[in-house]
Amino acid sequence: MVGKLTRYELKKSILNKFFLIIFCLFLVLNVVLTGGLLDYLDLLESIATGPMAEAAAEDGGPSIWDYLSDAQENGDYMRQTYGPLADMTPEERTEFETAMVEKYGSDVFSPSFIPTAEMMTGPDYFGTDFGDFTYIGNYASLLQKNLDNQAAWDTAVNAAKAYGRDALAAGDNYGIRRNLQIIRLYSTPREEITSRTYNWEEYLFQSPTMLLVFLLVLLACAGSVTGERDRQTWMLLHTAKNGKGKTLLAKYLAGAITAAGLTVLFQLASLGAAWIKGGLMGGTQPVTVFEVLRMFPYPFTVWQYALLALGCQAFAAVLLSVLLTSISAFSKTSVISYGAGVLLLGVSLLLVFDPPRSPWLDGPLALARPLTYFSSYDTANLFGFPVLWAVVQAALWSIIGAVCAILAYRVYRRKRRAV
Amino acid sequence: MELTVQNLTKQYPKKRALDDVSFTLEAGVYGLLGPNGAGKTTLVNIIAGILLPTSGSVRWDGTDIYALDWRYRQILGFQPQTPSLYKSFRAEEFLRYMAAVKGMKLSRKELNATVDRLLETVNLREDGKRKIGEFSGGMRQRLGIAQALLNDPQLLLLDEPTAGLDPQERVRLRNVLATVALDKVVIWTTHIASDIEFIARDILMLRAGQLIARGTPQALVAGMQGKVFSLPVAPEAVAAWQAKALVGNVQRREQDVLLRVVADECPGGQPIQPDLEDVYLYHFQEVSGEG
Repeated sequence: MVGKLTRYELKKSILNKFFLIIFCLFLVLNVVLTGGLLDYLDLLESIATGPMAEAAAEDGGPSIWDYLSDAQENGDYMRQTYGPLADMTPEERTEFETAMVEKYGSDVFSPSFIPTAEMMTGPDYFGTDFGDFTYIGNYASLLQKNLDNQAAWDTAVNAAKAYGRDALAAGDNYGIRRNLQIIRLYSTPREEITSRTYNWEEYLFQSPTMLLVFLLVLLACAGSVTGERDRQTWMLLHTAKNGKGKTLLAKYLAGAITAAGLTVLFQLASLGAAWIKGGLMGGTQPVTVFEVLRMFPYPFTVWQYALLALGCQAFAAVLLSVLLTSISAFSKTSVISYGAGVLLLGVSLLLVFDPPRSPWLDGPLALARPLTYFSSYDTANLFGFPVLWAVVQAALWSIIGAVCAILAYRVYRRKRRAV
Repeated sequence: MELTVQNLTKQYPKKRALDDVSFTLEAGVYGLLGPNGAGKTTLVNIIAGILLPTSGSVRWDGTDIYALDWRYRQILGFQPQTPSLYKSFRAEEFLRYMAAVKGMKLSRKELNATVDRLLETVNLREDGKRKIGEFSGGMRQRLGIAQALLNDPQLLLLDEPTAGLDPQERVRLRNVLATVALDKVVIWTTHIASDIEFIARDILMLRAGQLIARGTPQALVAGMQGKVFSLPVAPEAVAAWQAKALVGNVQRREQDVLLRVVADECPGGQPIQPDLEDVYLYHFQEVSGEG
């Protein structure tokens, strides 16, 4: 019965002309913004008037799609080439590095080295038709990055050992567990050889997608209960058998389905936009390839991180729908519920982009930007146990959302005609 | 099957909408007659359980309706005054939705048959697939009645059900309700006496929140014997009579004007047979202009 009621609630909230028009506009806006409208226009301009146009004019040559296709092929080729390197033992890697230094000199691993003529003309190290310097350049920069990582990780492990000893002496349970976790985390061998990634940054860190999703969730949920009062249909509901409990549950479910569905749909559209823009390269690389996620605590690939981010964002959207539906149940009119909803959304977004000092004060939408919690290894002290802030936020807001829903249910059941 | 309203009072900040109203109803159609502002809607909303009384109680078969909770709502059919309904729903779809809200456990086939029958009953069969947003006020009113009948309720509350209906539809509705009311308690609020004159088992007259009279239409009309007069007057005297007496009708004739005067006394007037409208005018003359 609740399933049937939920279907009707979905029809009420999203299958109406106004919502569908706004939805379509936002979807197009999302694709355009995520796809990089300005970049795209610049690219078109360069194709029309720049060197690419001249090259094309000379030999009837490559179009933008040819360039994109080349980039994709290069990426595949490099992944194939670098694959075996990831499986090298430390001894093999040292041997490889020594061979490279012997062959090209000690500058070979400098990020700013200038390829020598010997490199350009020498025999292909990997037996390919590409110049060695391409690989050396890439590999050198990766080694440089990994050396940086190693130093940072060593520092973290040493500090954790020192603090862990202090915690042990002081009998600080949280300190012991947290520092043990850090030692284990940073001592775990990781995949160190990475290839290039392309277009993921725009999708993962710069997309305005969730802002648009939140606005649509506001539109769908803030009036879900007060709308019944505006239409006077609440009297029909409150005098029917299932009208006082199951209809509200159906409204919550419809809101949650709408929020989760919009998140997935809009993120897929963003992903599609990034892909159309020039392909998504490096999805199977370790997510630590991104500088901002260098300290990410789990050995995830870029794809896995994208899925984790999607889960966090869907959680934030569903939580927003629960809070907005609760506000609607508490409010007397749609004007009040939409006003309060706008206030909630505004303050929450402010807290996302300008986080307070204490993560305990992060708003309900903090998980919509998971980078906040995954760019460093930091934990909350929960009864002496170190718990990642992302997990703490999810648990905390799940509880707050559930309490709001229960209170709203009690108010909704008792709500009577005001005059 | 018995509805008991006991010492019901509803006090708003600036107005007492109901003042110690008590009555008991058994199966049959009951007309709740009164002018606008008399407290009819307040009373019906309290009986429907969507408005809390200041004091007093409503009981169904001896049990308080709030104690019965969903068991009371299960036997209740309610058509509130002028609901907007869901404009994006089709009429059939709306009834199916209301069936789900009412917790009716029917197979798809049974539900379709019920929906078709009710649409036929309220003369909306041809419009079942149209969106409610395209409906006129009268059509929405009929759809509202259909949803109230959906769960075959034992207690049917209709708040001004004939508002917006044309005469043909009013007659049709009267006949429908007279048929279905055999095994139900039906409360029909109205300020139009003719709506309920021929089908009401009893009429309850409400004025300024107080129950001022209750009786069968025949008894109420009989009580008006000798208080309704036919009075021929000159055309120029009509305004003066309307100012000093309750004039129920003004009929222009060749030589003069025939007035229908409702009063305890009417010198020069010829006593005539009263009807329920005269009863209404007689009881509510002081408040009929309040709107």
